[in-house]
Amino acid sequence: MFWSYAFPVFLILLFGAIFGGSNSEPFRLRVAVADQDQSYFSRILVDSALARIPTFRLTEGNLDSLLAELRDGSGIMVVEIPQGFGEQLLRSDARVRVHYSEANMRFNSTAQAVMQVIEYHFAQRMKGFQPPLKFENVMVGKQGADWDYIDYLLPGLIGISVMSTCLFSIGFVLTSYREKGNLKRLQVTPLPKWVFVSAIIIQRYFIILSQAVLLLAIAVVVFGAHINGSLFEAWLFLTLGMLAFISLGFLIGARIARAETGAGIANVIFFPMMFLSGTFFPVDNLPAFLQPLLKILPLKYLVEGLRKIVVEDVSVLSLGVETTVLAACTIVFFFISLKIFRWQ
Amino acid sequence: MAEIYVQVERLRKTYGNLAAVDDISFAIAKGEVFGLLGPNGAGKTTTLEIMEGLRPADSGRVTIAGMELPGAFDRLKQIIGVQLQATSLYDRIKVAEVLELFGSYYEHAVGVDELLRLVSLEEKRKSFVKTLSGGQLQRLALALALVNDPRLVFLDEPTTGLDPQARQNLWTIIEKMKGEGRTVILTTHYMEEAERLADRVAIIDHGKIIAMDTPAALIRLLDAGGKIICTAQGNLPHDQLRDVPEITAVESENGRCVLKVTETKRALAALLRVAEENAVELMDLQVSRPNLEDVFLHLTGRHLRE
Repeated sequence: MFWSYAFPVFLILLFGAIFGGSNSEPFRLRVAVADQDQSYFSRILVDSALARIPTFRLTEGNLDSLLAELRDGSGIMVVEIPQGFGEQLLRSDARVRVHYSEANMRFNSTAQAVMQVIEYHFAQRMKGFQPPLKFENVMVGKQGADWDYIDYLLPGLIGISVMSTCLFSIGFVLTSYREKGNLKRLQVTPLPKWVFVSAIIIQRYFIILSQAVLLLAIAVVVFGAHINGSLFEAWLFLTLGMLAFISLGFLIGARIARAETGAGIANVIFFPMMFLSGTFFPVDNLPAFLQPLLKILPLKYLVEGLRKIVVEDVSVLSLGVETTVLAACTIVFFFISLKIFRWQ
Repeated sequence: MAEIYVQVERLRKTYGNLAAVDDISFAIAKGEVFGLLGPNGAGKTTTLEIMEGLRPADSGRVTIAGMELPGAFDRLKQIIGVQLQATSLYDRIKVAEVLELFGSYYEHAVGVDELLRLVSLEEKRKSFVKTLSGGQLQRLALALALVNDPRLVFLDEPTTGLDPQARQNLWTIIEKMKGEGRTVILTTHYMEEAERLADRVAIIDHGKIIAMDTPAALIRLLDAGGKIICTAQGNLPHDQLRDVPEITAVESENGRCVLKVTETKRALAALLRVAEENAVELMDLQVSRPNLEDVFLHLTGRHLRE
């Protein structure tokens, strides 16, 4: 009953909240404006156009501090109206710079849509006088503007493959071995528990690693992904992440004696994590009530850490939060599963 | 009794209010085949699984080869072989591979070829386990139980659910084990199996041993010996038959004559003589000797597979 009804209902509520928006809290994109011009026209653009776009949540501020926010990942997008905007507008040469951050906004399509919205609303305000606005995109981040959605996606997909292998091919498989009695048969042999567990860890580790290498190769060769950071450090960090998820798999498979229950629990963990960990799209814009939930998802830390290393060339040593969370998950999950493990 | 190899003393295991194993004691000699016979749910498997170290007993003592469970379980695992009631193996593994794999768990392992020959699965060595028939899988399970050349073998209902031919195959293999001097404990609810394989049988019902002896001695427990059944063409004088000392009762059942006898040979001779004297022709002559099924019926008032 739970899997047939409660779980699908839970999913539709969750994704409805994410994508559908609700009346009480409509989805609004955080947009910051830095008006360097402070002219008549620039104020029209800000007050009469940008401020009235219902899907924007507008904040105004100093360019340098807004860009700093963008760099540290707390900002989403900065619309810069450069000095001289008003005069340039009269010469039909007005430019608006849209700064967006590697850390938060990787979708060219979203950025394009934002620009179109700005242009449309500005033109409405200008009543028939339609000077062309030119937009300049500025990517804020260490690597400049040189990267695509595939670069964002790759760490997410690697994270998902780590998670799915561990949840299903460790968690679910162990519950099914227990249900069918494979584990009971092993229990009457002298095979020590730690050998059995180590064998599973080592075998799954190499499976996951080969999956990651395959995904990486396809992303680079077929889609032209950019590898900006150190692959060695990425491997180190990925290994830590794998250990965390292998432990999670063992936790699921430690005691449950019904394969159906095992599969169900694996799915309950899998689906929210797959969509809410910033794997396919940034999650900072999701409704506020979901934010606490997002912070406890281990996959988020794996994916974000991996992304920082591979895309932003951040050293693994400076990923204190990510490594701490994953190491803690590894230790906690592993010891709990050893404690509660049953052969039968 | 020869050297005692397995000693079970006052074993008890309860689940809630149900005493699955209720004060069971027995001893098994080295090289003996010992059968636990009883209906489903009698406590056979629970007894076996306690002895195999798979579950803890509530109280009581199990000693195998001088080592006491559960403390000595790690050492004992090297010398026992176990066939569980249901054997489940990995799907994507071949017959020879699974034997090799399980062999690797032990200090000493028997060669794969020898095991395959023993259970006649040589032709299946490269087949995936999941393609085996029920009988073949059960033979593979036997081979796995022998992979460490064990001194003591546990067989939990080795032939349940098999067709008669597959059952005969398995019996031959188990007899071979016995010939090799292994001690064997087997559970079954087939009395033919217990009679054919076991040196001694303990009959278990509701968690208690209600009788324990050689199959022949158990059968002798029954006052009534065998039965002779026939259909008489003509009037067979029952009084004359009752006068025969070896015939204890004469009854008519569905138009057939049923004699309860203490000694089959003499009773049969007497029956034939009476028939000839009265010019009665005897049809469908059947002689049946009592078996463990009858013993169980006699002891519990129920059939084994009710």
